[in-house]
Amino acid sequence: MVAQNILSRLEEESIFVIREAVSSFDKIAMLFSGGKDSTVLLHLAAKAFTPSLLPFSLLHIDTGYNFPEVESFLLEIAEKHSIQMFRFKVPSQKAENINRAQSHVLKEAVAGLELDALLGGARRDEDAARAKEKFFSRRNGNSEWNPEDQVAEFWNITTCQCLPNQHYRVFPLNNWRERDIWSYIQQENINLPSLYYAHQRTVSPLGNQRVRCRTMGDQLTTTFHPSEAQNSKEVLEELLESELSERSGRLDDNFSCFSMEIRKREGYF
Amino acid sequence: MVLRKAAIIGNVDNGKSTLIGQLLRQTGELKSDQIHKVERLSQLGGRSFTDLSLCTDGLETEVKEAKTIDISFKFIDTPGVRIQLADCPGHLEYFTKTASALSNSEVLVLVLDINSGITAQTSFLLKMAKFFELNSIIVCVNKMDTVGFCAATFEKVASAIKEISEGLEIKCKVIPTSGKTGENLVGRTEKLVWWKGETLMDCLEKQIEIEDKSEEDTWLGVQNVFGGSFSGASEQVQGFLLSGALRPGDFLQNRQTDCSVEIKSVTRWGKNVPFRIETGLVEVRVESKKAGQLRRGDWLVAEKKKADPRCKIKGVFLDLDVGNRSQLTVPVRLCRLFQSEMAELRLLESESDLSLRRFEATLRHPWVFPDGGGPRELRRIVATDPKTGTPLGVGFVD
Repeated sequence: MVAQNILSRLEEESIFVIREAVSSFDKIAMLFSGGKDSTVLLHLAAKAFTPSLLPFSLLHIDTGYNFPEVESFLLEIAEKHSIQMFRFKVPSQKAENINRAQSHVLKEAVAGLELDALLGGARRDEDAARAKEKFFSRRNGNSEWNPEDQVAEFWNITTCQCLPNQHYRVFPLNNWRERDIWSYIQQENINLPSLYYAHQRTVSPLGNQRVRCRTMGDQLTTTFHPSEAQNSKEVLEELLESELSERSGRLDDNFSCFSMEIRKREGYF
Repeated sequence: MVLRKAAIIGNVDNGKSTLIGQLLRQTGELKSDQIHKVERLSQLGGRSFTDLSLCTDGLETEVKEAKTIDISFKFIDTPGVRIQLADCPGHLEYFTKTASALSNSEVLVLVLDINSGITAQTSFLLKMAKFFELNSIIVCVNKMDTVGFCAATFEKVASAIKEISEGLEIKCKVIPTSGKTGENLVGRTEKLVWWKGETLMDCLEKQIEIEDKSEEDTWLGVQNVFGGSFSGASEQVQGFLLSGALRPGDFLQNRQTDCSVEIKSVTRWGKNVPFRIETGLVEVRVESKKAGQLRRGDWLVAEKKKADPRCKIKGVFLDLDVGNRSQLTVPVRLCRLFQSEMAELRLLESESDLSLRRFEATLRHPWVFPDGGGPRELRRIVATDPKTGTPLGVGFVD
């Protein structure tokens, strides 16, 4: 028998996890940043439940510094999927470290919406701390991640039960690599914010030129690199040539060698 | 490109993480900023050299204590194959995590320090591989650099491993490697000129046969049911086809309730597939005399096939809580694909092996099992502690 290609296997694995999550938890939502990973995750979820509407709402954490392109994309997505989007905003007085304040707002959102699970688009390939993640990642009452207190996952058997004061973060895209995400965007013709493709922008210290972003946060954490890639095919070609890892340009990843682990322990996703 | 899932296991400090780090570097998976980060981590951890094990052991505790506390997943792409590597902890206290990686892998890489040779833990790990039905094992006789790449020393260890694995009826390939200096991982090197066999990547790239289960009896598991949008006694099932085929017009029997349903349509992600024979996820619209007949955890089988629900089950059990076990009868939450049930689990006395034992359990509500044969997936169980959710053990039902 012919083995399935990677994209079909990853697609099936993710849809399996999304369906398991929906049947294992009562109150569930999907974190949606508007970035390429959460957009692919939403596309997969829509496939998983077609022809029905999605059985959960979206949750967007707004630092107050969203790109205008992202703002319009969020509206477009909510309308396209006829889906409710909750927005939780980082208070502006916490401006000294907006990125890390997101964890606190996320915690408030989980409590406020009484969620017992939150789907997210994080991938193991992105970072050393994310490389440790389970599909169903347990968080304590404070939303904190403790890598030593995770439930081992055997075969494809979902054992998680929500105990008091806990919730789960669910990561259906765990085994996708950056190039899988882009191959899938190409294959499925998925629409993304225009920031991911070459456009004219003034960036320091490069000045005004054609650039694109590789990973997208808000205006405070996103960096742009010179690029001529105008579509997913050209992005894939560019990735093959790249000497840098995916998140190398993220300003929020570089405050320590353990930036992601520290933020995950604080409740980041 | 196809996907291979591999687990890398071995005793503490036999060099698993270093070997993976080296493999990532040699296959071009480590980008310049990541190499720079490993250099910074090496300094932080007080190493006098660039410690490639820090590519996978990236948590703060792991860097400071130089050990792996949980599985790390890494990826290697070659033109023909994607290798998804699970780097497992070597410490026995984290064995539950290693065991979970074994359950999810297709290929096993066992790393062995040539200086310590075969220990009790090596035999234990091989036995575990057998338990998890991993029949394709690559053994890296590692740290060849510390014995001057000596062929005779390698042969001695290699034949000892072959003897054990033959006893366990496991097929294994034994190769010499050096994670630290990077020998025989991706390409051939001068230091191992006497070695004419395969490199680690050669072994990992080998294709594996996928079983064709379309000729077997049909077993369709119900993952979710959506009744709402269809009229009458028609229901939309999100299912998992474990074996057999699905054809509109065929009848399937729900063995839990003995009700029969007719397949009206078969789709995958909403797209029509008139005839489904590949195992995997599928959506099936079914019709029966009465609505509301199906729920998650039901198993639909071909009519007339014998498969009876039962409460009393027995089988073989891997005790993951062996160190803390004070009593042999415990209340557990037993889980299998799409189902969970409270049960009383009784481990039977064993003189030889405390971690692998026979068990008996009584379920509160019956589960359906095939009478002999049938899909293996239905026989896999995980027992968790109902209070904490922690897995206490895993097993196979007879």
